[in-house]
Amino acid sequence: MVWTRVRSGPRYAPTTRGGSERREGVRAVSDVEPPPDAVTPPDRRPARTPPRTAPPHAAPPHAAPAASPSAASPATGSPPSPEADGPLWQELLRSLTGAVAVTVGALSTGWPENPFQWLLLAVAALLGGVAPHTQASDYVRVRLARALHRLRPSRPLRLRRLLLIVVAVLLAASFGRSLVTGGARLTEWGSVRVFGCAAPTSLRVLTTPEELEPTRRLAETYERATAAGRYGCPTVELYVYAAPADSAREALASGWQANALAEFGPRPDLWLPGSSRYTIDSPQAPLTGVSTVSLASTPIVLALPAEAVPEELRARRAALTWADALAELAGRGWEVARPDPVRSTTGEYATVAMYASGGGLAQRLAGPGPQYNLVTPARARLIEGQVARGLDAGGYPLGDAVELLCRQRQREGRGAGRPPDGALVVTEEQLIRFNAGWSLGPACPPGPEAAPDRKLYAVYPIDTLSLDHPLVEPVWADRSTDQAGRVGEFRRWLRTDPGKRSLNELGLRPRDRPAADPIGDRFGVQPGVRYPDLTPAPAALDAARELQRSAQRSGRVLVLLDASGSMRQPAAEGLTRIDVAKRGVATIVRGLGGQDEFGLWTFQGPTRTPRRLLPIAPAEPVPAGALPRPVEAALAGVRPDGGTPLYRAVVDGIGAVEPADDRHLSALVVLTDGVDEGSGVSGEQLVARAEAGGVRVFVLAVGEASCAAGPLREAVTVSGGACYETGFASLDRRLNELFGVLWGGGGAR
Amino acid sequence: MRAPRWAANAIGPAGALIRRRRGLAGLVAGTALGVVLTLLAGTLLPRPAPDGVEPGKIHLVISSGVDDGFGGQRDELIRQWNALYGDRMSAEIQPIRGGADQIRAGMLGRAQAGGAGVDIYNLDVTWMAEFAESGYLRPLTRDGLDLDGFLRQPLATCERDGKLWGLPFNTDAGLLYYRRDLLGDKPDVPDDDPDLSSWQAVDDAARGVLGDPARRGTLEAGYTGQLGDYEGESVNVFEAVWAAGGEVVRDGRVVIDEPQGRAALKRLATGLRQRPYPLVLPASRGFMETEATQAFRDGKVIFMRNWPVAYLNLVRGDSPKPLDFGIAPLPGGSVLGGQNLAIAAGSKHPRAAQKLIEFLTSPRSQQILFERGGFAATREIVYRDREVIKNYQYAEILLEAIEQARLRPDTRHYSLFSEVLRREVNRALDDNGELPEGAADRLTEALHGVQAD
Repeated sequence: MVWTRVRSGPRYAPTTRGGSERREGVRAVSDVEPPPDAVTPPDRRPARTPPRTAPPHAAPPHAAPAASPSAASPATGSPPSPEADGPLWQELLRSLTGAVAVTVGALSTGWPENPFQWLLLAVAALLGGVAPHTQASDYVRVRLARALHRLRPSRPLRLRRLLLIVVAVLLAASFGRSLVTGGARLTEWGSVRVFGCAAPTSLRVLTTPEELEPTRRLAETYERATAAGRYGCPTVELYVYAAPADSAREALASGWQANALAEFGPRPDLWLPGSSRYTIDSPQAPLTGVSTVSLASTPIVLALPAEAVPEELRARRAALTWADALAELAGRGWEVARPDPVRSTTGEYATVAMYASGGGLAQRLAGPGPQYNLVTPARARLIEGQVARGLDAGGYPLGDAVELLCRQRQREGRGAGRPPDGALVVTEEQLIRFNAGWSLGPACPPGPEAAPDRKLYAVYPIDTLSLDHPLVEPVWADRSTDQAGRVGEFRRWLRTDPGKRSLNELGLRPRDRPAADPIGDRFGVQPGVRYPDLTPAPAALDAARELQRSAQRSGRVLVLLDASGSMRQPAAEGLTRIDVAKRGVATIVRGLGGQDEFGLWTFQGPTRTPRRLLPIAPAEPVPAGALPRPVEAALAGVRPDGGTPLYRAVVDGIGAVEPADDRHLSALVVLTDGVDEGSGVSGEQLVARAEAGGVRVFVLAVGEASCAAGPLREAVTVSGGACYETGFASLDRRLNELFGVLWGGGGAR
Repeated sequence: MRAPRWAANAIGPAGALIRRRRGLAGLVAGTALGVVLTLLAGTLLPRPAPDGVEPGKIHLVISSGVDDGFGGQRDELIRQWNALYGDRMSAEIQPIRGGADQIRAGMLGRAQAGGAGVDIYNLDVTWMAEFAESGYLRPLTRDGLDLDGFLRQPLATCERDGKLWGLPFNTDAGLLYYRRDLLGDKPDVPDDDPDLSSWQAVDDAARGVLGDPARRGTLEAGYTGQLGDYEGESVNVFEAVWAAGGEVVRDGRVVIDEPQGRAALKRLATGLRQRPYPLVLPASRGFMETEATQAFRDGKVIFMRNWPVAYLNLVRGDSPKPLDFGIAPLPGGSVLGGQNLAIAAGSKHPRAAQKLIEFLTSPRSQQILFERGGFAATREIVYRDREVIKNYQYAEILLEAIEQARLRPDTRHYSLFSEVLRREVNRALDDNGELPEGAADRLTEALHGVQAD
C-alpha cells in the first residue's frame, strides 16, 4: 500500500465513520490517505490551491514515515506525526496486501504447473510484500496522488483515496501478471531441462485408407510446429489411423460405441474422410454435433505413363471431357484402371464423372435431381468393360487408388516392367505421391523419386470431380476442455499460412492459396488448372452406383474351404470354426446375382488334392434367404480332419476357374485357419501359378493363419487379389465386403 | 475461544448468555448439529457391502487391446466372474482394435477426457510411468493383499513412489527358438544341448550349418528377430545392446553410442549384409512376430528370437510332421514385456475393480491364461505345477528368462523415445551400423519428451 507512507497534512486528518481502521484493514489504510496538495509540488499545483512553502515530497520518500492511524484517528483529533512509522501490524498489512495483489495478478495467467513456476510465484509474492517499503513505491504513490489531485482537486477525499488504492492494487496485480508472463520462458526452459516436457494432449485423427499417409505427414508437421518455440515440447500428440469412410460415418452417427472400438479402433477427435460426401446429413444416420470445414481440394485425373503420352493429347490435357478422354484412350487401345467405387471415394467420384460426362455441366450433379443425365446402361457396360480390362491387364487389385498405385510401383520394383500402356484413375495428390516416391501404404514404403520413364502424367478432364478434404470435428459431450481446446488449435492452424503450406506440400490445393511445389511439371501436374469444385448429391451417387452395379462383370468364384482338423476348434458363441465358415459360405451364396457362378471345394489331409464338392456353375434360383439344396448338402458333408494341403488346393483351384474376360471376373476365395503343410507344392510354384492364372486369389485368414509376408501373400498380390486377417466374429462382415465387389451384374436375385 | 467459560455459565442464566453472545451460540449449535448429522449419516447412509465393495449393482469395464492369446481365455475368465457374482457385479472387456500405439492412444483419450466409463485399464508395462504420473490411475489398496506369489520383476513394474498402481496380468520375455534337427540336438538325449550362451556361439553355430550344403536345405539365413518399425524393433535393439555388455540408458542419459552399443548395432548391420548366407535374415527388417514365426516355420532360419506365444503357434498346427525345434534363453537376457491391470482414476467402483483385478491375477486365473491362452503367468506357482511342466517343457526356461528380464526405460515419454530410437537405429542399420551424428543427444532429448527438429 504504497500511498500510506506519506506525511499527512493536519487539515486532512480523515474523518471516518469512526474507528473503521479497527474493523477493516483496507479502510483503515485509506483513512490515512495523504492530502493531495500535500504531495503536489508548488510549481505544478493548480492556481486555486494555495502555495505551500515546504512541499512534503522534498523529504526522501523512504524516510517519510507513514501516517499513523492512531495519530490520524478522529478520536484524538491531533494531526498525525509526519515522522512516525505506522505500527507493525499496519506495515504487515501493507506487505500482505501487496503480496496478495501481486499473487492474484500472477495467478490470473493460470495455476503454476511446475516447480519453477511455483518458485517464480513465490518470488513475485515476495516482491509484492517488499514493494510498499521501497523508495520506488513512494515515488509512484506521490506521482499518483499528484496526478489525481490535478485531475480533480475538489473530488471528495475518501473517493480519491479509494481510487488510489484501486490503482495501486491494479498496478501491483499487473506487475505480478507481467512478471509471470515475462518469466514464463525462463520457468519453462528450466522445467524442460530438469523435468522434461509436460505430457502432450493425445488426440486421435481418423482418416481413410487412401489418405492415411498424407494425414500422418500433416500430423507430424503440426506436432513439430507446436514444439517450436516451446523448447521442443509438443502440445499435442496426434495418433492417425484409418477406417473406410462409410463405416466410420455409421460408427460416428451412433456415438462410437464399444463395437466401433473393437472394429475400427479408438474414438476419433477429428475425422478427415476425404470428401464432404460423408458429412452431408442423411435422414437414415444423421451426423449431429459435428463441425466441418473444407481444407483443400484435389481433382480426379487420368494418370498416363509420361513417356507414352502423345503430343496431341498433351496439348489437350485440360480440354477433354471424360467421355472424350475415354474414347481417345479406347481408340489407342489403352485400358483404364479405376479404383473400386465401393472401397474408394476416388473410384466412386470417377464413376459418377464418367457416367455423367457429355450430359451437360458437372454442376448439375450437385443438384437435387432426379435428372442427372447419366449414360445408358449399354454405354455403362462399355465403360465398365474398359475398366475391367484395365484392372486385369495391369494385374491391379480390386482396391482403392493407393493400392493401385502401390501395385504399379511394386511391379517396377520387381523388374516386371511397365504394365501395358493404359491409364489409372487417381487424384492429383495421389499421383504426386507416386511420382515423388512417397509412401503408398505399408507395402510401398517411401523410396526415391520415380524415374522420368516411370512417371505418371496428369490429364484433367474438364468435367471431372474433386475431393474437397473436409475436416470434421465430432463434438463429444464428455471430452475435456483441454482436448476441445487442442482440437480447436489444430483447426485454426490448418487455416493459417503455415498450415496451408503444409497441406500444399502434401500435393493438395489449399483454399485461397496459389498452388506451389510439389504441384508442378516436375511431378507431372499442372498448377494453373481449373476444375469443378462441387460435391455430388447423394441421389446422383446412388444412381451412378446402381448403374455401375448392373453394368459390372458378373462373378465366377470358386470357394476353397479349409477342412483340416484345427477347424473343429471352438470359435465363437458356442460354434466351432467350421460352423462359422459354413455360415460364411451360406452368406456368399445368398448374395449371388443372376449371372454369377459359384463353386465349392474343400481341402484336408492326408489327401493332397482338394475335394470338389460343387463344380463352378450358376446357382439355381431359390426363394430369398434359402440355400440351394446342393449347396446345403455339400456343406453338411464337410467333416474337418487331417492336415492343411493349402498350396496344392490353390494351384488346382486356379486351374479350374476360367480366366477372367470382359463378362466375368474370376476369383478364388480361400478360407483357412492354418499354414500349408504336406501339399508337395513349393512357394515358388504357387506364386508362378498365381501370376499366370488370370484368376484373382483372395485369402481370408482366420485363427492361426496370417497374411504375414510369405508365398501365400505374394501369390495373392501378384494375382491382383487380397489377403484379410479376420476374427471369426467379423468373418461375415468381411465376406459381405469382399463379395460386394466380386458378385456383379445381372442384378441380385 | 471462550467456549469453556461459556459452557460453565450455560447451566446458569443461559438465556441471557445466549442473547449476549448470539454469534457464539450459533457456532456451538451448528457444531453440535453437524456432529449429530455426521453420526446419523454414518449409520443411515449405505455402507460397503460385506464383500468389501461398493453397494448397489456394479458393472465394471476393462479397457484393453484385443485378446491375442488362444481361445479367448480372458473373456472366459470374465464369464466365470459374472457367474460368480450373479446380479450383484458384472464385468466386460472392451477391446480396442489395433497395435500397441493405437491402443495407447485410445486409452489416453479416455483418461484425458476424465476417464468416464472405464474402471480398469490393461496397460503395457511401458505405459505405467505415463499413466501413473499423469494421474490417470488410482493406486490399489495393499490391505489384505498378498503380493508374495507374484514374480518379482513383473510386480516391480506396478510399483512406484511406494504405491501399488496395478497387478501384473501377464508377463513376457523373449526366448531363443532353434532348429534342433539342424544343430544335432536330440530331444531324448539330455546333455547334448548346443552351446547357445552367447551371440558369438549362436553365430558360430549358424555359420557351421549354413556352410554345410548337406544341412543347408531351405535355409536363407542364420537368425531372425523382429526389426520392423514398431515396438518389437526397440525390444530387439535393447536386447542386442545388453547382450554386447552395453546400456541404452544410464542415469537419464542415452549411452547407446558407447563402444558396446556400437558393436551391437555393427553386429546386426553386418549380419544383415553378409552374402550369400547372411547371419541375420534381411527380410526381418520388415518383420513383426507373426512374420518371424512364419519364416522359422518355413525353414528359412535356424534361430528365431520370439515371445513364448510363438511356441503354441508352432506346435498347434495340423502338420503330420511337426517342426523339430528347441527353446533356450536369449543370450544376454530379454526385455520384460507384459501387461498390468490398473484401476482408472475415474472409476466409481474402485473397490470392486480391485476385487476383479485380484481375481484375474489369482493363481487359478493365471494358470488358465497360461495353459490355455499361452499368456506367460505372473505367478511363480504356475511354473512349478507338475501338469504345466509336463505339457510345456519350456516353462522352466521361460521362468528363468522372466526372472532375469530387464525393464525398458521408466519414463512417461517412453512412446516418443522408442519411436526416435527406431529412427536412429534404422539409419544405423542402413549405414553399416554407424549411428548418425548426435543420435545419443537426440535420444536423450526424446527420453524427456523433447522432439528434435
